[in-house]
Amino acid sequence: MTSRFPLKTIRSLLLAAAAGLYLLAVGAFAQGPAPQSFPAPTQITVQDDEADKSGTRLQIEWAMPTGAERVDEFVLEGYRIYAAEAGEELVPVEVVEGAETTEAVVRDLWPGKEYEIQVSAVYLPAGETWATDRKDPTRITAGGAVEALSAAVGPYQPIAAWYDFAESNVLAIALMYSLIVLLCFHFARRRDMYIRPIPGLQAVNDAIGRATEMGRPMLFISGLSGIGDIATIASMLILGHIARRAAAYETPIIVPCNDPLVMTVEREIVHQAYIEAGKPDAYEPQNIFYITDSQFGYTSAVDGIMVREKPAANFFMGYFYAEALILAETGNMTGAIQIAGTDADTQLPFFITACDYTLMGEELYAASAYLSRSPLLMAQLKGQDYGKVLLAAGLLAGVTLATIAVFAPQLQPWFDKLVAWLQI
Amino acid sequence: MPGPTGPITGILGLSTEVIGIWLAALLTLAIYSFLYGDNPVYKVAEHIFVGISAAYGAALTYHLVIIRRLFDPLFRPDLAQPPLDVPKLSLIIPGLLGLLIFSRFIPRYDWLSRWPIAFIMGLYAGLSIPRTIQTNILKQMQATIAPVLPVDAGGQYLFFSGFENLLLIVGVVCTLAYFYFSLPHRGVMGGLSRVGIWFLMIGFGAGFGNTVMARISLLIGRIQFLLYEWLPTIGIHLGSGPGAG
Repeated sequence: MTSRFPLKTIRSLLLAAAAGLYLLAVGAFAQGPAPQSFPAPTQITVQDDEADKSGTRLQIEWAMPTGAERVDEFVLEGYRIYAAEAGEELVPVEVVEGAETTEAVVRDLWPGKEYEIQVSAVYLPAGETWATDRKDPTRITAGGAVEALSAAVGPYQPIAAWYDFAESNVLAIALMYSLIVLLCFHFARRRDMYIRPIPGLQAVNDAIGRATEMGRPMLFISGLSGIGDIATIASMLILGHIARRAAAYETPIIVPCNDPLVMTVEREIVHQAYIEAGKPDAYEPQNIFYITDSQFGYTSAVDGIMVREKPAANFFMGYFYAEALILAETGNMTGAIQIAGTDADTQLPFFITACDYTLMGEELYAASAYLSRSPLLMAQLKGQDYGKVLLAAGLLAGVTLATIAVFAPQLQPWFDKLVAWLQI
Repeated sequence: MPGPTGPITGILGLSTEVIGIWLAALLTLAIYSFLYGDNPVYKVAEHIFVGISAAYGAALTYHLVIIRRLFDPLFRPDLAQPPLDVPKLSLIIPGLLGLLIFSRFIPRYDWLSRWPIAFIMGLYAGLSIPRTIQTNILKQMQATIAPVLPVDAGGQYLFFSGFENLLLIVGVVCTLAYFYFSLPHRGVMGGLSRVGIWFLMIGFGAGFGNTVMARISLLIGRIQFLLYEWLPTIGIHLGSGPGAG
């Protein structure tokens, strides 16, 4: 006689045993509320972080739990901060390593919203090292960690400031500079203003003429920074001038781009220049194209263009990084006349050594005014000049005051006030 | 069947590591072949480089920007990082601005593409003005203003410190004079700007040397890769390399 094997019963038993083991394991390793013997942090104070004017931070302080350095075989190793909008479940947002550190800043909050805060003391078995998860730093991965949670406190609101008094100096300088530019604009509309000759810019027209005579194209590169960079904007104004000349002489201009938005704007600029020159049909949009936004991928492609198309003139205008020397050296090798302009001070030495003419720093910004003579751009350039005069005068006055203050201590408070005003 | 610690085979029985080393070595040599002149090998490497980087950039933008920053918070808020309870409707505005860029494909409405560009340029200008004033004017002024006759606590004159401060202020004022465009560089202005250009060139020389040194170390890294990682795969062993312990 054979008895039927009680499969269902055994399966149920096995499942129950597995569930039991799982619960035991979870119980052993979970970071949960600690027994009563583990004291929690007390005297929790929360206030708006005064250093932060955006209203996204709260500063929290607490008192170290009394007599908590060592409880049974557990040692107090740090704290975990919980936060949530009032009425919602609190979640860990910050961990603090070290029993002695009793303050933290909770970030990325919304200004004006109400938050509740809770602080837990984290105890580890003696000999266990503090460790947190690499991806989620608020998760404690040290084995056997237990937490003693304080009562939730709050609600508290991070407050955003409408005006940051610490940055009044920035506002004062911006307003002063704006006023100077407006005054210069007023005068620039009435009469021509003098700008000293800049050799690199005088050479631009020669370079265009050379390309036309040789029947070869010109290459224009507007750097590797994006559309919002001042150097890129300055380079586009220069491109407008070069494109107008190129259109007048019907000399092709190649503009490889590493940013799609820059390409879009440069197409507009070149198209407009061809229209202004009365040759809209000669405009070839395919000459202004996107390559890639990878720095050296772009560089290798432009190098290839230089050696295959053999442009007679290369213009490097804008912000450049490590590719500056590679581009300028390849252009030099092909025998092109090269004019560079950048405000990247680390790359200027390479352009100076490998190019025929280099516009250094502010000369790049001056170029657009110099070439166009537009009253608005002239006013900006003059405004910068007068700003520099004020800056130099301020520096000389400051150094004089600092030096006199060494021998006349009664002037020291004035010097301290000046330094404090410059403080960001 | 090899276990988890067994060799990982790639193509033609070669391990993926060896294939990787060969690809890197051949592409390195292909790019260096440009030193000889433009050639088909360089062209192949250049096109691979451009193609892969452009495609990688597009894929990265699609996943990290379009999906993660726009699509998920708008249409799958539970999958957004961090998860959201409700769709983040404010993202409709940047999403629409982004879509306007595509108006360039319709000549009649291509003027609409100027809106997002104007927005970006305005935003960057607004963000960069206070930052530029803080870092390029205030911080620099603060660092430049120092006594040219400093004394220590005992009243002793600090010669070198004073000389450094004097050099700093002279350098700054003369360099500013070089970048002054409203007067011709003649007379006093010419003298000041000439001193300024000397300061600039000394600075550029130091920068040049520093950067060339860094580039040489990059070249050394590539040569070491070829000598100590690639050559051993074809049975040529030149030692364990300078980095080996």
